Amino acid sequence: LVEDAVTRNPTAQRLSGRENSREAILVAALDTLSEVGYSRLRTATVSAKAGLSEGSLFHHFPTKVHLVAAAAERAFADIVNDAVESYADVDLTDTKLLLQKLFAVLSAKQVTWLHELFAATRVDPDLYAVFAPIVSSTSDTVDALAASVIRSTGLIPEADVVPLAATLILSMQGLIARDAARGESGLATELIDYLTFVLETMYLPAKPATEQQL
Amino acid sequence: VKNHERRERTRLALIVAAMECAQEVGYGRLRTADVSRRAGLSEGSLFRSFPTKLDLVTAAVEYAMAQHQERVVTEFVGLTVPLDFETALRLMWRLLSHPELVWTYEMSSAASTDAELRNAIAPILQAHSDAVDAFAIAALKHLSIPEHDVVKAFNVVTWTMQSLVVRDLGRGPSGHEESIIKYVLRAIDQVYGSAENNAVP
Repeated sequence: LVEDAVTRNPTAQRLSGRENSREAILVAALDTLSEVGYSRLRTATVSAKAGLSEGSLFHHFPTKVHLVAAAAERAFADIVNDAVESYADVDLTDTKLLLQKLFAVLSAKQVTWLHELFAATRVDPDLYAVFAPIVSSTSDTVDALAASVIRSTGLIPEADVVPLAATLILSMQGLIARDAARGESGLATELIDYLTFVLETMYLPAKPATEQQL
Repeated sequence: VKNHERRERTRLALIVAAMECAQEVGYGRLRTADVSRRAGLSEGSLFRSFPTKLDLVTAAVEYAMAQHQERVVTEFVGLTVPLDFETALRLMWRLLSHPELVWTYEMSSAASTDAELRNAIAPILQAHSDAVDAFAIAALKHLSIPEHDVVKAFNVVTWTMQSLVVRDLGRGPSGHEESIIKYVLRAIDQVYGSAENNAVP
């Protein structure tokens, strides 16, 4: 991941022309995907944005599926990097802060089109074949990362770690997806407060119930 | 009157065909030519009923949501056992992962990057989800969760399940709903007290 972060930054390393144009296309694809989503992605738009010909795009990415898969891989790596950075040196006793950070990581603008892509794979076998392994390994990485943060609080029984991580991530993703499709509901604060209350009630039994946040 | 009836029948045939196409090929690859062919009509006749593809899609979403709402009401009313949390959670999973609803999730994510689509469908999604939520929440109110937390708990479960459905679309069925349902049951029990004592007939 660190290596990836270095190669992504054009100033960090002198790239060959070939690598440069591949990188420019990938960056343009990520921009375009977060603007128009997967179903309206056109390779012509991407190559124009990168200042290159469509032929050059197809030279690096033989099909649109290859391009989207590379973009998904990059977007996932960015999200994982973000999560790692955001949880470095965090105060593990602050439940609410841990949840707020998780929500921020999951709100990355790339998440929206990745969600759309998840759904599109359902009916597109080509996309599914390329994309399923990427989704699988990334969700496993994100889940494992969340599990390791939860474990390091030292408060959660081992049997609860995995389903708790899944429930936190999925419920936040659900709200984020809903707000992206319908406009801001303002329910994020309420969700984080409620999850904080539930976790503290379940795992900090010393805390009297009267302190619960309503 | 006859003309009106015929128009309504045509509209409905096109809406059902659009839903079926969207289920099969997904929203991104939905083509009006395929929809009219499936309905046994000309594309011209489709455009007389629905001037734009967006009009057709909006009507199909409205129809899918109404169907979902009907399933929710029928399933909750048709329960043969007293409602307890486990029954409620399994019912919610079945309803939220229903194939006729799942294509609307894809469309709803497409709406995040398509303002025109979002403006057309957001009010429909909102109105529908308000109605369904109100119904399910009323049913759950008899159980042990205090009133001020019912909506919050219901939202957490709904969002979790919807995301899991979407995630499973991208990687194949994971079966994770089982461990999530068990965990949520344990959480309800620990936070609000025993669920078993709260079943209502």
